[in-house]
Amino acid sequence: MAKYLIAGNSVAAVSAIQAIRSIDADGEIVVLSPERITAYCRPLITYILAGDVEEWRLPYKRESFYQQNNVKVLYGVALEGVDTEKRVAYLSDGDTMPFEKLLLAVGGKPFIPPIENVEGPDVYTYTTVSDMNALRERLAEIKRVVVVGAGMIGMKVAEALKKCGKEVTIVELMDRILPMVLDRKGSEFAERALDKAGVSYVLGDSVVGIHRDASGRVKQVELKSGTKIDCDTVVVAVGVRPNLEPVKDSGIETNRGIIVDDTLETNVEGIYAAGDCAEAYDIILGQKRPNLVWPVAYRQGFIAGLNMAGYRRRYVGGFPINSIGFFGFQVCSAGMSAVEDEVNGSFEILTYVDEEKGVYRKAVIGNNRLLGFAVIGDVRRAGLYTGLIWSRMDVSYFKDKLVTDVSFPEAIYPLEGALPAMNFSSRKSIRRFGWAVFPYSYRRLFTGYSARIEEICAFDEKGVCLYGGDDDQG
Amino acid sequence: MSAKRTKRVLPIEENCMGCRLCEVACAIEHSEFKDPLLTFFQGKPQSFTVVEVDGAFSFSLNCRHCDEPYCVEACITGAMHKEHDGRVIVYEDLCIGCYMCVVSCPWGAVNPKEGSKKAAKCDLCPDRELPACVQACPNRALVYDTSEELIFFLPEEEEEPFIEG
Repeated sequence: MAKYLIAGNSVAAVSAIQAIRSIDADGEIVVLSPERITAYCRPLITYILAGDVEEWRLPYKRESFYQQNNVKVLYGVALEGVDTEKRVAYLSDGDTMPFEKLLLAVGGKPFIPPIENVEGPDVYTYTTVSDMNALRERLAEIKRVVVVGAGMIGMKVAEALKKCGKEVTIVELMDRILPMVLDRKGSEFAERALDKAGVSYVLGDSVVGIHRDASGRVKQVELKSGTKIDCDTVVVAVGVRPNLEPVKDSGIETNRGIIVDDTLETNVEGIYAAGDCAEAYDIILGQKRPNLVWPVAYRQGFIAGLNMAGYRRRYVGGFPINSIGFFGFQVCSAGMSAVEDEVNGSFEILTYVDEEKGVYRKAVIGNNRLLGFAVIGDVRRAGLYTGLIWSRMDVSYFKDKLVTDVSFPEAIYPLEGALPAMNFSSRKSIRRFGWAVFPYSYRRLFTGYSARIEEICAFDEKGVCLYGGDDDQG
Repeated sequence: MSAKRTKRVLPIEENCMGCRLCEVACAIEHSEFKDPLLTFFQGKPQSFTVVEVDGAFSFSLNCRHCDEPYCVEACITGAMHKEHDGRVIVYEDLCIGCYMCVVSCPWGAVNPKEGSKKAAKCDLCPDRELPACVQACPNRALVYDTSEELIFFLPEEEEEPFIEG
C-alpha cells in the first residue's frame, strides 16, 4: 500500500515530491515512471539532436534526488487504469497497487492528424527520449525532412535537423509560424529568420497523404493544395493533447483533460491531477482548460503535492507562458498573444515595431487588463508583462508607454530621451513602463515582501485587482 | 515555505533620488575585471538592479529571491536553483538560454546575459559581506535585510483561504 502514488515522472511529479516531503517526511511515495530514466528536461531533446547540448545535461533530476527524498521509482511502468472504488491502480506490468492518495501526472501525448499512410516507418513524433534516439539512429541516412506543424516542437525539430545538415520543409495549416503565439506581423519576423537560414516553409496548407515506395519507406508527401514534396522522413508535430487513456471508464471526470478543482483534486476524493493531463482554472479565460506548458505543470504538481499531504493550498490559476528561439529569432510570450483583430472592440491591441533592430512588442488588452503579450527580439524584462497578467491590474493609465518604453538600467544602456539623474524638475514628464508606474500600495507590497502575486493580490468580486488606478503618492 | 527568512535587498523609495550608482556598482562587481574603467570600456557591463523612474520618484528594483520563485518553476533544465540559504541563483553551465525564466519573472529581474546565451540575475554578491548595490547607495535607499517586518502590508482578508487546519 503506497501512501502517495504518483503516476508519471516529469516536472509535475518532481515538484509534487518536493511539496509532499516539505510536509510529510516519512510517508511512502511510489512513482511510476513510464520511461526507463529519471525525470528529464523534455525541451532539451531538440538541443541534443542539434548537438548544441551534451547528453549528460538531459536529466532534470538525478537518481540521488529520489534517494534523498526516499522515493521508490518503478521504471518502465505506466498507469493503465484506476479503480476508484477499491482504490487500486492497475500497472502496465500486470501488477496492481493499492494507494491512499493518487496523483495523475501522466502528461500529454502527441496528436497525430488523419493523414493517409501515416502509420509505418520514417514517420516520427518528437516528445520523448525514445523519439530522439529513434531519429538519431537514422540521422545519417536522412536527407530531406518534412516537419508537419510550425508550433514549438515543430520549429525546434526543424532547427535541430537543419543544424545536422538536412533539408527541411515546414508545413503549417495556419497562415503563420507559431500560430498559438504569433500574429501575422510577428510571423514575418520568424519567416525572415527562416529564409536566412535556408529552411523552406509552406503556410496555409496541410499534409493529406504520405506516399511510400514498395518497401514502405516514405518518398513523398502530398499537400491539400496538390503540391508534392519529396522527402525521406516526416516529423509530425501538430500538438500535444492531454493523455486520458489511464482514466478511461474509471469514473474520473474528464473533458479535454482531467477536470480538477482549485485544490487540483478530481471529482474522486484523494485522486489529484497535475501537469499536461489536467484541466485546471485559467485566469485569463476565466474557465478551466488544459495548459500544456512547463511552469504550469510545476505549479500544479507543487500545489497538488501540498494538498495530498494535508496542507490546504489553493491553486489560483495559470496561463500559457512560452519562450522559444530558433535561427537567431527569439520570442517570449504569455496568454492570448496571437489575437489578431480587435473583435468588436472587446480587445485592444498595442504594438511597437522597430524593423531595423528586429524588435516587435505586442500587448493584447481586454477590459483594461493585459490578456497576453509577445515580445520579439529584445526580450529583456519581458516578465514585467507576465506580472501584469498575474495581478490583473488596470493598465489603462500607463497604456501609452506599455509597449514603447520599458525601463532598463539606464546607467549601462542609455535610453533615448534619458534624463539626468536627480534633476527632478526635468524628470517630471518621464513615465516609462516598469514597476515605478504601478500603484503605490501594490509596489510596496511586492517589492518589500516576497510573495506570489496571484495569491496575495486582492481582487474584488468581479476579479478586478484592487490595486488598480493611479494611487501614486509621488 | 522555508523556516528561515531570506535576506534580500529591499528598496526604500522615499530615500532614492535615482542616481543609478547601484546600477554601476552592480555592473562592476559582476564584470570579470572588477574595475570601473575596464568594465565599461572592455567588458560587457550588465546591471541586475534597475532604477525605475516615474516622474520625480524612483527606486532600485532587484531580485526578490522569492520563497516560491517563478523563475525556478519555469526553468526547464534545473539551472535556476533555490539554494538552502534562500538565494536564487543560476548555474551557468546548466543554462541553455531558453529564457523561460526571463519571461516568468514579474519583477523583470532575470535577464539575458550580455554577450552570451545564458540567463543572468542577482546573486547577492557572494564574494562580499554586503551586496555591491547596497554599499554603493549614498542615501540608504537600499537595505539588506529580511523582509519580516513588512509582512503587515498583507491584506487581512487574504490570510484565510490558503491555510486551513
